[in-house]
Amino acid sequence: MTGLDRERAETYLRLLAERALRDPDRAATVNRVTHALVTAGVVDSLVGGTIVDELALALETRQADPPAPRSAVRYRRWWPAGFPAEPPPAPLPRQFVPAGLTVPVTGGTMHLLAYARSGSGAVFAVVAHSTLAEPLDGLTATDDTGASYELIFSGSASAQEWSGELALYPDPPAELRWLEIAGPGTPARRVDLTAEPAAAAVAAPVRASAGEYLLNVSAAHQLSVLCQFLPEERRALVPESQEPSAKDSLAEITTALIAVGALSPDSTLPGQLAALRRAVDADEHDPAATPGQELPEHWASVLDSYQHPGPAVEQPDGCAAIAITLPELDGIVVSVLGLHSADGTSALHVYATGAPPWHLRGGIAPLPLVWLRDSDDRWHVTSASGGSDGDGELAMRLEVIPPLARPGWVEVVVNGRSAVVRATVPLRWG
Amino acid sequence: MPCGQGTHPLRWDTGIVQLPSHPDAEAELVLAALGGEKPGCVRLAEIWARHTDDLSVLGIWPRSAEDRVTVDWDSIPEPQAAGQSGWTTLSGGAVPHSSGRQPPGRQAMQAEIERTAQRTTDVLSLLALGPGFQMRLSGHVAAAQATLSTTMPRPALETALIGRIALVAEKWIGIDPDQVKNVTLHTGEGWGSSRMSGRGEERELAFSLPASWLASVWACGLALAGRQLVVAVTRAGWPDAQVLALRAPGAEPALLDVHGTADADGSPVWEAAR
Repeated sequence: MTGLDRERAETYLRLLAERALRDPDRAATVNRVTHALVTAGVVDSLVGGTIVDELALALETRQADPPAPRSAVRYRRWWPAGFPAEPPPAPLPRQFVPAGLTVPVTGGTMHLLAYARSGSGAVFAVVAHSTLAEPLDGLTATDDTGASYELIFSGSASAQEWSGELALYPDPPAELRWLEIAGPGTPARRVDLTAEPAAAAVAAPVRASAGEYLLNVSAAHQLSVLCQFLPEERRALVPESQEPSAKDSLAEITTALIAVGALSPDSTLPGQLAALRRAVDADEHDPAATPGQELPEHWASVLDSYQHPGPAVEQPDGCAAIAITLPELDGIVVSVLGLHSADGTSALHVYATGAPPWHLRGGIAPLPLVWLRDSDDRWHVTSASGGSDGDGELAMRLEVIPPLARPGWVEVVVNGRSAVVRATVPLRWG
Repeated sequence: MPCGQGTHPLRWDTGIVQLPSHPDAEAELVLAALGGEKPGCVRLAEIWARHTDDLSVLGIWPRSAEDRVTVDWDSIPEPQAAGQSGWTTLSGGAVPHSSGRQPPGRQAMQAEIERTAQRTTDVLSLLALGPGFQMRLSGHVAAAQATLSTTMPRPALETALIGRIALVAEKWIGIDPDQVKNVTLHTGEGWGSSRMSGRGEERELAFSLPASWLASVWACGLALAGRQLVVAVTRAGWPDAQVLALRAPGAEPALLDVHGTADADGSPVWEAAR
């Protein structure tokens, strides 16, 4: 978006707010459309937050009954404002080396996906499964010169999975050939640090529209979250009276995207998203509810995996290192570290620099949307499910839906606001 | 307004807020700087001064004399010292306020919470002054914005103009405010332009008016004089002035002498002079 387009989008939102002041029933529309335009990157989160906040205050002070005594912080912003528009400079992207090794730890196993050395030190990206608490305590490493290091875990934990980084202390030299990792009571395993990253075929970025990005994000949300519930379960979770009409909501967002020049009036995606929503909401046994509009291949593939799941095949736990860094998208550099599968689930682990700090995001997801196509031509959507976020660096775990069945390769499709990047990478599962 | 244990008058006169109960406000500010309590009137005059070019005033404040914004003094929170508001309040009281060192992101958020709290207090205090002061502060902001020379788009100012001219047009010719479209900030010579197109529900009324219209016409309560829409002031004055006014959309404006009287709030009401 050019500066002029951003002004046009801001004017559009302010006019919506102006109408909502005359008709307060329209206030929810302002919130929805603002959130959509901020997610699409068409409106700055600070501007969007200011418009929503001013409207809320304007409406509250026009109520028939005088407002009750309040706390000064009662007006809680759901988007912060007043921060410097420019985030601090991002740290340099790391250069990753694939590790791809599974080692035993107390009560379970640990997958070493990748090794990276940067100005802030050396780390392994890891995923561990263990029945015991704190299975990554007491790990040590020895390098090819005999020097020893302590390994300190940082990251997230849920159920019996630990996902994050193992940092080496003290900081090792740059030119290491290998490291041997050992834990209390477990034998040492050697990690080759001279391996080349996976021989990925990275295609040049293809331009995309901010509006289509937003609609893809919405589709991914439908496919990754809502599909996990039956229609009647979703209705029980959110009573219809509280849920804005999906049809109305999509229509007002589409109108806004077209009006601000973020979506072509000829785009087929709004109709396809409406068809996806009908399909997600539909009773799969009701043939009349089958959408008439053909869905994009990747949406249809994920939807089909829900509607027609194949026979369950038990997959062994394991990991596949990738360690590739993709071209920059919307100022964000994403490195794909690797995949791991366990207990019938799969996750893609990524590291990114250049995303705005969390307090500047306005609640918007920091990473571009990632889809995967596997060697059986099945598509998978991803959904953030944990990670660490700080100092301009993100280490995220993205759940892969539906789970992977140890494919021979995957195409990683990273969908940003301004472009789409694709990379095809061979996988060697360990 | 409440000040100390009593109630003090506040006066606006030719663009200046006066504090009759604090004839030596400068001295009181010095005492406050030395640790004394700053009187409420003095604090409010400072708040006023901070917001005389704040565009959000046009976003929140009344669009017309009929657009009533009501804030009681009792509903305004006490001003808080730095660090007094914080995560405790944001998280619903479950987390004790920490006086320890916070990470930079949290410090930034803490600072933002305090700025937001201060801003909320400021806005509510200014609105509590009532319709007369509300209109005059809008006039200050519009005048300050009108003097800025820029060719860049100005969404907040443009929307402020649309929101106000739409309501004036509704009273003028009975058009639905949503049918007032294509309102732009006029930057060239002359007063601007107006144009009506379509019929019935398809009617659209377009305007191009300078930002100064908000300050010199609308904020003075001059937008409608009799049945005519005022587009510019040719001779300012009280209670008599001369304006350029439109009888109908698309018509050429004509000079009109107007005479003003004050309503119960002290706001001016203008009629065509006989």
